Amino acid sequence: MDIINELKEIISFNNIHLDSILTDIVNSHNEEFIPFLLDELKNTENPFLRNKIALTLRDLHCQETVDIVIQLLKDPKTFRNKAVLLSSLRTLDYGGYIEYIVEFIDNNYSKVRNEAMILIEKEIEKCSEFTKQKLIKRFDQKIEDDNEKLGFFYHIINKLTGD
Amino acid sequence: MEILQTLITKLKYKDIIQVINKIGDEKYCPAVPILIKELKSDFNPYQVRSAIALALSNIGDGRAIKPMIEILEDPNSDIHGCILLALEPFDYTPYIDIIFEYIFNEAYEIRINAFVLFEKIIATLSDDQREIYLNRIIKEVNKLEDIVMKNKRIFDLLLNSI
Repeated sequence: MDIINELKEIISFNNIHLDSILTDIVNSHNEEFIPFLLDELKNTENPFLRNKIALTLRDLHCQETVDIVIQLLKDPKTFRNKAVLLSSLRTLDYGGYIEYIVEFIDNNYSKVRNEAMILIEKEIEKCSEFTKQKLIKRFDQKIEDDNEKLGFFYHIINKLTGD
Repeated sequence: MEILQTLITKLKYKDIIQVINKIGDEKYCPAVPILIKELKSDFNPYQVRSAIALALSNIGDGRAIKPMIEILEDPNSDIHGCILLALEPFDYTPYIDIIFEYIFNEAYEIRINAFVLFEKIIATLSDDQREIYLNRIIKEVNKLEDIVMKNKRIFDLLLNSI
């Protein structure tokens, strides 16, 4: 428990050694810290710390991280950290949330869209036929909408260039 | 004018809209200050503020331009599409940069309304201005083409997996 108290102190003071300590936890596969890290992930208001812990738990292959990360993704307070949170799901089983994750293909930030794509691509083979059909419909609609927008922009370009 | 103010606060909003439409049809200029005040009031429902914007457009009084532009500058407003439509009879040229950005809006109606305004002043643009707008659109096109390409890849993977 002493080590956990020490970690608590390091985290609460935003200690510069945080990175190396979290790396040590991952390298030693020390699962003793997992409940504490899950609790911090859920409750911390520090985005930097939240991101670091999410990635640490991912590297520890802690499946319990998934539900917490999905809740965090739905929380407006994480609007600047969606890409990191999505990437923290990479090594975990997030299949049950694939229809939620697909909504990030509309996100304004390319990093967020790319992370969602990586997760979707990894999961395709595991998806049920029903889910695949739903995803196909969603992507089809998205491509159609974007092509419509592109047509509109090409039209304006022609107007501006006098073609 | 006090009567109008009372009407706006007391009537059901369907009836208010009828009164506002009538004011617009009759181009009743003395109502402009009250209409502007009520246009900017968040207490009025969307339908009432939209009707006010169109009435101000019908009246065509230049005092309405600035308040309308202020609404366009407020990202939280829900009547951007209607304001763009309402600006059509006015001289909105000094604000074309603000209007132009709505060409990239997610909502179809808003994009089209912004384009209608932009198209009307294209002929008056200098070469430098044209280039600035052109570069802005090309940047958006490049981004969107990249998105479409990536989405098509996943779409194909999904199709091939069934």
